[in-house]
Amino acid sequence: MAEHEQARRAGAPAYPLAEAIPPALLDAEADRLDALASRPWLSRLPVYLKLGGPGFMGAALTLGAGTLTAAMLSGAQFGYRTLWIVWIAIGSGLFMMAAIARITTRGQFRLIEKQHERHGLVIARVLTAFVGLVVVAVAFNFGQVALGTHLIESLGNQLGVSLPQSLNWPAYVLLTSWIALSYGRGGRRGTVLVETFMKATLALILFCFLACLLVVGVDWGAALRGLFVPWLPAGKVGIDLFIASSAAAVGVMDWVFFHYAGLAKGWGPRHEGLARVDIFAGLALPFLLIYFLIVGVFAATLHRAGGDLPQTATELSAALIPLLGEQFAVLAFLAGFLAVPITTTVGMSIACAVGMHEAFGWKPDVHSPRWKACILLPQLALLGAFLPNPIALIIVIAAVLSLTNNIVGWSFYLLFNDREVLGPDRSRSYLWNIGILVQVTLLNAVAIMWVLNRLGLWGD
Amino acid sequence: MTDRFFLERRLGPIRLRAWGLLLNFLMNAVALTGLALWLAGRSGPLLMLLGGAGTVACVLTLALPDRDDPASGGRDDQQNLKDDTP
Repeated sequence: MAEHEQARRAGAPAYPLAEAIPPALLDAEADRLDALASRPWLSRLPVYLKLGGPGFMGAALTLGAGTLTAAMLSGAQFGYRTLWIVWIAIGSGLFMMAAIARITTRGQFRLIEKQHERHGLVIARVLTAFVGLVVVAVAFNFGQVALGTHLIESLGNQLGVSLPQSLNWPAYVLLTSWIALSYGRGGRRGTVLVETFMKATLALILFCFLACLLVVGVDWGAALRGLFVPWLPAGKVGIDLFIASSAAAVGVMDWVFFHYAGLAKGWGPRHEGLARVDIFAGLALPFLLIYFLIVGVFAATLHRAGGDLPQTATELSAALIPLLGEQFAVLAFLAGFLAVPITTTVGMSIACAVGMHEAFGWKPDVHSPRWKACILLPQLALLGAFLPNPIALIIVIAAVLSLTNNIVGWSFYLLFNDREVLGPDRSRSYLWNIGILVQVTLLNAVAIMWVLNRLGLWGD
Repeated sequence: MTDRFFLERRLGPIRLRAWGLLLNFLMNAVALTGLALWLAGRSGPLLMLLGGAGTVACVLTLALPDRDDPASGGRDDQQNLKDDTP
């Protein structure tokens, strides 16, 4: 039995949210995973999908209003031609996610605490926990609430029911708050409830967008060329698009959230294989499929129609509706699209609570008023149902993120290679390290281009 | 700790691996600045190529994992040599 496994059995779990899970349950789960290891890969998959969860929650976080707007704009503006970037975006992100899975399952420590110990308070508590989780969750939830409440209103209009944004926001807030507050309650029951909700919602999004794509049709030749033949618009626009799109898929919140969600499930060294499958099947695959479907729908409609393009998710979806034709497709699009901000708000609420507790060194207790208040903090964004997006605030936060995401990436790369932190479980793979460094370099490029833009060196 | 893997040796306040990350960042900045100046027609591609080459060199060097086993006096431990790329 591995050293960490013995330590886990001997002492308390690394994360308090896992304390209520009976050790016998975790041991039985690990035994089941060990027994599965000798069976064919396909017969293992259903069990992995059932036991996984943090990866699916990561997909829900990543596939928010921002990513979908980027996918819609990309499809509407360039058709299928920039689809190939998605391989780099998710591919480079997977190496860091696999490193996080190693740190979670074999390290058995709280990442931000260890970061504080090795790299100091500013990188750990401020840049990673407070900026990377809390600030992002609160600020970017404005876009989710604005989009979600708008979509409820649009869905109501299609069904002949008046559900204006100014009235439907309590339903949005109540639903997302209730699901987020369930996380970690009742042993593993609450966590499994939230994970199941995320899995079901991702399946709904996939089904709805697939239905839309079937209605509008796919130009398979163009789609395959777009997926496998690199193309970029000429000049700085193309370079901007490449760097922003390839660095945006997986970031600090995804890394940290996956880690704490894994710890909350009580994952130990024998769960590493499960964690890797969860990252691939729960995070990467849904991301790739949903991104492809959205680009496809907009390539076949707004791109084909030409003309001036709207720039926000709300305007883009409004422009798409008349082009979908079939009432069923319109309803499917609105329902699938509505699921996107709902899952992101739930994920961000949990990430905010985790981030606040790690930023201030508090012990997480899902029954405490403090945890509940932290979960509800991003609901400040309910103002997004009444007010325009706080653009100035979001620009400042995006700038801080652009300038600091790479530093958090440096910190995680160093932890993964640190013998004193991970012992024999540290990185021993040259290729794995190259993958992580490619993502770190892309994040560096985002920070540098932000500075060059401000200096007037990168603008048109 | 003279027998430590070279990237894990301390140089001043931080290890060589961390200095390497800073150098990589500098090389990324040189490459992108060179690219911006080249696209604007304000210089040739030399600066961009220099930064690009520096970036590649940094990434390839920083990717070297520490496979030394301190328990065996710093020599490579056969068990730890095993590559574990996922």
